[in-house]
Amino acid sequence: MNSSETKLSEALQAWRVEARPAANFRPDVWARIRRAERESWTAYVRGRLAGWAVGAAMAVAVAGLAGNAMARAKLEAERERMVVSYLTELDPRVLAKLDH
Amino acid sequence: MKNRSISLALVLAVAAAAGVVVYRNSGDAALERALAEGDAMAWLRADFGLTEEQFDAIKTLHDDYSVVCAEHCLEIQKASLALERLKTREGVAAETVAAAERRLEELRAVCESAIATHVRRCAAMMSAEAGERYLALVLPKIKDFDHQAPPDLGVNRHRH
Repeated sequence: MNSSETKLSEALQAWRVEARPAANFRPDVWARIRRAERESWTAYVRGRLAGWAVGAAMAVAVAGLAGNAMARAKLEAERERMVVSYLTELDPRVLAKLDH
Repeated sequence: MKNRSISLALVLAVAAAAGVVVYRNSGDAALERALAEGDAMAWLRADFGLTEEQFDAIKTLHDDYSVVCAEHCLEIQKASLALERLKTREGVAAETVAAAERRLEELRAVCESAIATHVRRCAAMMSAEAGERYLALVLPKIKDFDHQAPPDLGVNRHRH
């Protein structure tokens, strides 16, 4: 171990963290909790309007897209059934079997 | 915590309502009614945006085709019955059965060709885009349709 390493080791050994407790830390925390409990819903939303607005817009957009996709899927399934029904009326081969 | 839950519930309720509104209003009311009622002509009119003239022309084509369809149907029934009889009869030459089978297959092929010609004529009455879409929906299903379609479809089929 060279001299610089020895010095660093000594400095680290001598280093002590002296954490000073914040004055009124605990009462301040409880005061914030009580304030939050008393806060009305409108005040809560007003305080976080941007976040909730973005969240709501995204949720509405996703729900709209899902609704549209479901409506399209339903329409496709019904159209498929209609094509089969339509061809059944047009196809003598099927009608011959049905009338048989 | 309570406020966050209320907000979340409200956002979810609004989103669900938006989803339902979009789902209900996404389609074409006339098309949905035609599909729900199983009305093929109303479906053609709504789905392919037919004008009155186009609709009338296609209806005439369908009416004319139904005569041809009835003739084909009868021919197939006769050929099919003849084949069944030959198969159940004893001592019938294999060539005779094979000839009856060929006759039935020929009639099926004639039918397939007649349907394809008919739907192409219908498509020609529509706008170019609608005609293409109609053919894309219908043409691929025509080949061997009688082997694909369920035999007991409860659709409003016409009787010959």
